[in-house]
Amino acid sequence: MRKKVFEIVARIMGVPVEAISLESSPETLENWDSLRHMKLILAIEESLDVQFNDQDIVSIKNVGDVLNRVEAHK
Amino acid sequence: MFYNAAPIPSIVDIENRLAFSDVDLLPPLRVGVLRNVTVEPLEPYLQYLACEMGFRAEVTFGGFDNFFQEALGVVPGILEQKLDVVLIFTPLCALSSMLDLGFAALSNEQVREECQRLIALFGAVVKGVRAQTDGMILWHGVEAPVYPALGIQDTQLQNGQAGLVALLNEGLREALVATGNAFLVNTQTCVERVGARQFYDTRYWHLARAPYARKGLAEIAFEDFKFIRSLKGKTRKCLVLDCDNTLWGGIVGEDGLEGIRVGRDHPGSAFLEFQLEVLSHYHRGVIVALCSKNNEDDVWEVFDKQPDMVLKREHIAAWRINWEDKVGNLRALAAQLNIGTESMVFVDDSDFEINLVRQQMPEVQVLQLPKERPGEYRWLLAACGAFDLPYLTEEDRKRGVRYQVENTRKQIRAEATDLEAYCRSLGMVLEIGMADAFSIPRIAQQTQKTNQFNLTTKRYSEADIARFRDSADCDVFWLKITDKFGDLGIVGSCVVIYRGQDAVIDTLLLSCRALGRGVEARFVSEVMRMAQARGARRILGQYIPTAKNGQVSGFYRLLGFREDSSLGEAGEWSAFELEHAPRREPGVFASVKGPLDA
Repeated sequence: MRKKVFEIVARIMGVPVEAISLESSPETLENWDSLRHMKLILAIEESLDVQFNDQDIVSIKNVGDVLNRVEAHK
Repeated sequence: MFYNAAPIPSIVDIENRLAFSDVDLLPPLRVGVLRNVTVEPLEPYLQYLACEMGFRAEVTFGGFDNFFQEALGVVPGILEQKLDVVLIFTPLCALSSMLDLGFAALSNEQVREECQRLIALFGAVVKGVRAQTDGMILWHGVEAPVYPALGIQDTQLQNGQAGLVALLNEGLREALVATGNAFLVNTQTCVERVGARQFYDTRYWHLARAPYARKGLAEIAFEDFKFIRSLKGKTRKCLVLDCDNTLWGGIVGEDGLEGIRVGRDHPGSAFLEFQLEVLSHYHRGVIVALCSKNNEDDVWEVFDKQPDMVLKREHIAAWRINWEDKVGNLRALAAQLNIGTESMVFVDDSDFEINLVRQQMPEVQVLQLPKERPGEYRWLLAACGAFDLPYLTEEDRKRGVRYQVENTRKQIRAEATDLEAYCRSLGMVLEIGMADAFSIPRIAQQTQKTNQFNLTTKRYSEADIARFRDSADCDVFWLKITDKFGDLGIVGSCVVIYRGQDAVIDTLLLSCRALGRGVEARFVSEVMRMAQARGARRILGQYIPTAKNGQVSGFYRLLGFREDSSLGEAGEWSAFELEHAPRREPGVFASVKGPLDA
C-alpha cells in the first residue's frame, strides 16, 4: 500500500517517486498547494477505492497521514 | 458515465499518460474558465480529452470572487489572452443563495425580481465576454435542485423552484443564441446520467466551494468536448456497422432469415431499438455504411425480406459485405465516400475485428458492442457523442439522401468512359452567390469541417463569417450545385480580402462531393470576375499545407497563377493578373449563375 500511495503522490505532485517519504508535505514539496491537495485526495480515493470523510481531508498534513487514513478506511 | 463508449481514465492514469506522451508537440487548445465556484479538478479531464483530439489543453481559471467583474471586463483577467474556448460555471448554489436554499421563504414577487435580475446579468455577461474574446462560449446551464425547496408540492406549481430553474436556463439560452459561437451546455442531463449522489461532492463544497465530484467533472468535460470537437473540425461523419449480432441477433449465414432476431419482442427488441438509434443518426446527417463478413446476398435478403427491419437499403450510403479483412474494407469505404478514415466510427461486437481496427487504424474510433447485453447497444451509440454538432444545417439533414444519390452518380460515372461526357450528362447548374444570413451557418461549418480540398484550412465561426460579410474590404462567396439527381446544396465557400489593387483569397474550399466535376476552376473564375468588378488588378492565392490537403498543393499553378514567395509569410503564395481572367463559357455545365448576374 505504501508503494502505491507514494506513486500516486509523486505523479500528482509531478516529482520522481524517490523524492517521496512519509514526511513529504506541503512544506517539503513546492507543488503541494491546496488545489493539489484536493487533486491528491480525489486521485487517492479513486485509485485505492476509499472514501475519506471531511475530518480526514483536513487532518492530512503529510504522506504519512495519507497512508494512515487509507489504511483506516480499508 | 456507465454508457460512455470511451470511458475516461482515472486521474492517475491521465497524469501518467500526459507525462509519458509527446503532448508538448501538439497544437494548443486554449481554454479559459470563468466561474464562481471551484472547478480546478476539471483540468485533467480537459487535458485528456484534448489530447485524444490531438491537442494540448492550456487551461486558465478566472478569479473565484470576481467572476462578474472579469466577465464584464471591469477588472483584468483571463479574457485578456487569446482563447479558443471559454467555459462558464454558475451553479445556483453560488449564483443566488436566495433562490437556492432560501427559496421557500420567498414571495412570488421576490422570486420574479431575482429571476429578472439574473437573466439581465446573463445577458450582460455574454455580451461582456464576447466583447473581449472571439472564442467559443460554453455556458453550463443551471441544474435543477436535487430536492426542490417545496418538496413534492414544487412539481404541482407553475412557479416552483424547478420552474424557476427552467426560466433561468431559457433566459441563458436566449442570451447565448443572440451571440454567435456561444452555446448552452445541458448540465442537468450530465447530472442525470451520473446520478446526483455521485455528481456532487458535499465535502469539498464546504471545504473549498467545489460542488462537483470526480464523476460529475468527467461527464461535464465529456459533454464540453462534443462542442469543442465541432469547433476544431474533429466531429466524425460516418458510422460503419457490422451486421451479425450488431444490427440483428444471430448470424444470418447460419441461423437463416427466420432465425435471426430483430423485432418488437424480446430478444429482437434490443436490436430494433439499436436500429432506431442508427436511424436518428442518419436523420442528423451521419453517413451510415455497412462492413460485414457475409455473403452479400444474405445481408440484402434480410434488408429486403425481414419485416421488422427499420433500417432500409436506402439509408445505407456504402457497403463492403465480403470475406476480406475489415481494415482494407474500411479504407475502401472511406475512398468511395470521399471521407478520411479519421471521420469514421466502426461498430462491431467481435474482439478480433475491434482489436484489428484499433491496432491498424488508430484514427478510426471503435465502438465495441457487448453481445451478451444487447439492451445496451442503443445507449452506447447515443453516448459516444462523436457525431454531435451544436447546430444542424439543412445540408446535414439531407446528407444521407445525398450520399445515396451519389452512389447512383458513381455508377453512371463507372459506365461513362469519358469524364467530360459524364459531367455533361449530369446537367449541372452552378450558382455562385454572396453570403447572407441563411448561408452563413453552412459556410462557417464548411470552414470547420473541410480538410481535403481546403487551400488554407482556416477555421471560422459564424460570427467570423458574419464579420467578413459586413466588412467593406471582404467578400464571402458560396457555391451551390444542382444536377439531374438533386440539389447538393452549398458545396463550396470562398473568402476574399481586398488590399489596394490586390484581391487576396483568404479561404477557398470545396466539399468532397463536389470534386471531380470541373467546378473548382469555374468557382474561382467567378470570384475573379467579382474582384475585377471591384477594381482589383491582381488576385493572390495562398496554399498552407496540412496532413490532409496535399491534393490541392498545385491547384493555383494549374489555374495559371505564378508562384511568388515574396507575397506573404506562411505557406506558398502565387498571383494571377486579372486582365487575363478566363472568358465565360458554359463548358460542361448546363448553366452558371454568378454573383453579378441578375
